[in-house]
Amino acid sequence: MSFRSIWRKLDNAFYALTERRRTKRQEKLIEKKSGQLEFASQWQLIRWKFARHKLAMFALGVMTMLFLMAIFAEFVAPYNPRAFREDFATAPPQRPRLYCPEEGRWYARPFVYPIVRDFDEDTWAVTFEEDRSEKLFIRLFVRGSTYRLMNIAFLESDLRLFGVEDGVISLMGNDTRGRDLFSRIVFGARISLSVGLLGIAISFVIGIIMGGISGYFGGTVDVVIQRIIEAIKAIPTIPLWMALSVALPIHWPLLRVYFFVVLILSIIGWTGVARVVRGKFLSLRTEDFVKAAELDGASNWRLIWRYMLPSFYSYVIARLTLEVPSMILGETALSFLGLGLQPPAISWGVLLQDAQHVRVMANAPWLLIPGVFVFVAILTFNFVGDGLRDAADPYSNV
Amino acid sequence: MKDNEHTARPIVEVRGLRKYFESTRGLLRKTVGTVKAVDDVSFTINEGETLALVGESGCGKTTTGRCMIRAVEPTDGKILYSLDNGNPVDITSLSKEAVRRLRRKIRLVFQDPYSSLNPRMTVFQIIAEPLIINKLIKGTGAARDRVAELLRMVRLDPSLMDRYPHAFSGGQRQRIAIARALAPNPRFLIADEPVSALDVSVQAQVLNLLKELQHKLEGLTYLFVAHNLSVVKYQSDRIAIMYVGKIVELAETEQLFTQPLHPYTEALIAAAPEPDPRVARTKKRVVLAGDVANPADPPSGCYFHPRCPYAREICRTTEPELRNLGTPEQPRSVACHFAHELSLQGIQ
Repeated sequence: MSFRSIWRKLDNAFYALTERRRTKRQEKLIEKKSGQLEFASQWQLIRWKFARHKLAMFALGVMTMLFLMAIFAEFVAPYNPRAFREDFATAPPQRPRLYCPEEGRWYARPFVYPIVRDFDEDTWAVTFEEDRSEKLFIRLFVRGSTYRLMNIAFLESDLRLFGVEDGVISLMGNDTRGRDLFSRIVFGARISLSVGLLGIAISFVIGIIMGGISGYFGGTVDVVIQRIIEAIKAIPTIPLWMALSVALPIHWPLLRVYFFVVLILSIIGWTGVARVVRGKFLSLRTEDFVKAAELDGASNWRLIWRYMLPSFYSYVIARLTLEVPSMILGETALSFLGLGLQPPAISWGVLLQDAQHVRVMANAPWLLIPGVFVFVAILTFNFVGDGLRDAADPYSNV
Repeated sequence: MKDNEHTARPIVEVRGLRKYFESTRGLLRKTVGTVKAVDDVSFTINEGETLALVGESGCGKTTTGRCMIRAVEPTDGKILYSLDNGNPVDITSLSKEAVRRLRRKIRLVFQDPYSSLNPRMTVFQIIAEPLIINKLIKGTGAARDRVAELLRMVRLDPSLMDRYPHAFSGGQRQRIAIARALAPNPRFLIADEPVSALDVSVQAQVLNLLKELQHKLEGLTYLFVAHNLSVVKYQSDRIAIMYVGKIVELAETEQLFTQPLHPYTEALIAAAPEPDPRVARTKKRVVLAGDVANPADPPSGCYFHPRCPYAREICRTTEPELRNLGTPEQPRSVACHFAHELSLQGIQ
């Protein structure tokens, strides 16, 4: 039997299986809904609607994987992100393979060829080549160097998600100092993704307080806050970031710099949230059900917490998800320009600093891979945000 | 028509009510114009009766209703409400706390049941809210019993109380809103166009329900705001017609329909659709030209004169007073210079 026919059979079987599961799931959903729709709270409706948004669900899966990768970075990365092999600076990525052309046969387990370094005596040029005579099989859960998961003492281990037994695997090549780029990207996700979340959390708190005051009480307070927002929005971001980050003392520890960078990003970020919140408050104040509750004798506090906030936090959450990318991009831009985090900190922006030189990019284009991760992360946030927004919109069809 | 057993005792007396909205401009909030939404409106509502307030949109009828519970602060005038013990209080001069207590007795039903119910709360939570906020009931069990009672009163199945508003139709939602209004045992209900957002087919249901409730709950009084005379025809004891912030005619329902005294009333009656084609053929058609006058810049003299088919010179210059033309048994008033001379057409 040829490979092709086996493949077709497998494919058919897989299709039949997923198709059956899909229809089953849909039937279950309809069954569940027909009995429960009337009792469903707004959140349940949003969840059901979101679950039907294919792209958003897919993006949510990718996003979860990215975050799991960031949380368990020590386990996912095959090497310590700071361990270097000077001889193998800018070594190219190794391609995982299943087919060995020399032997003309397929393997069930993916493998890579080891990279060997070659030095040209005349030109002093360093070249890297795959050594086809040897195969390094990729294995799951191999023993590597010891690490502490998230720096917690008792979580010490040497188990890695994947790796090779004798030799080195570098799926995305090495950087200019011979460090494994994939390991560095995995660690960089920690800062790059958390900057987005933390930045959003801070802008959310400031934004909701300022926007809430502005929209609920109105009048002069509103005018003042709106003018402040306009003033902040009018400042060009890059010069502002530059000015603020120049103010960072050089001897500050990494963690403090990190928080300061987040704060810098949030200073701009809260204005957008505040405007959304203000607009929602203004429109909800005139809403009949809020008016009705007011006439029932509800206090300001009760009006805000029981009537107004629940009516728009789903929307605000969707909005916030859509704002995370600007935070991630902001951090990347700052670090790329050398204004935010500096090596030895690892973030996707810091990694991209390596890709600033044309010579490097010509010789080692894989140094742009962190940019791909930024791109994917931002797309997933946008898709999930879109899905949330559609799901939270009571006027879109269920 | 209902007999006038309750007419002896007024529950609310409105005297010279005014509400001016000022439009401001700029940071310093300079006044650039005044909209006289309600301009010197006076009427009395007796306990147990239904007074309808009818007029085109923008004529100030809703604002009048809202002023009566201080949802809108009146600019001027008095609203005398007689308390349970018979003593009158002026609603316009009450303290915040007193207004709060008053709002348990005077309740508002909103026009649009789609926006007046919080989509995040179950029907039980919505109806129990005024009871819980005002601490009128203790314990979830008692609250559930009361809500069930209220739901039965508005002819809804009490087993539906844990559903969310999105599971109900427009008519059902309006019943829920009525149940919420009735929760603290009010004496006076302001129904702000309670059926105009509903399908014609369910309007009658809600209207009948309101009528039935008035019978069941002794002494429940309605102020029924509407823009459609045919809606209030079978509903109200007396009707007040409003035009650009003023009452132009106030009479008992039957009188008003059979023998209108104001040209605007005639036009409104003529505008109500007649279901019987034989009657419709004989009807005189009165089609008003132009739009409702702009309350920010009303015409001189009688506000209605640019649209009035009977207007004469005096109408352009002199504003007519609201005059009492009725008998002591059947009081009625109208604001038209020629109320005596015109013979206007009504319907039987």
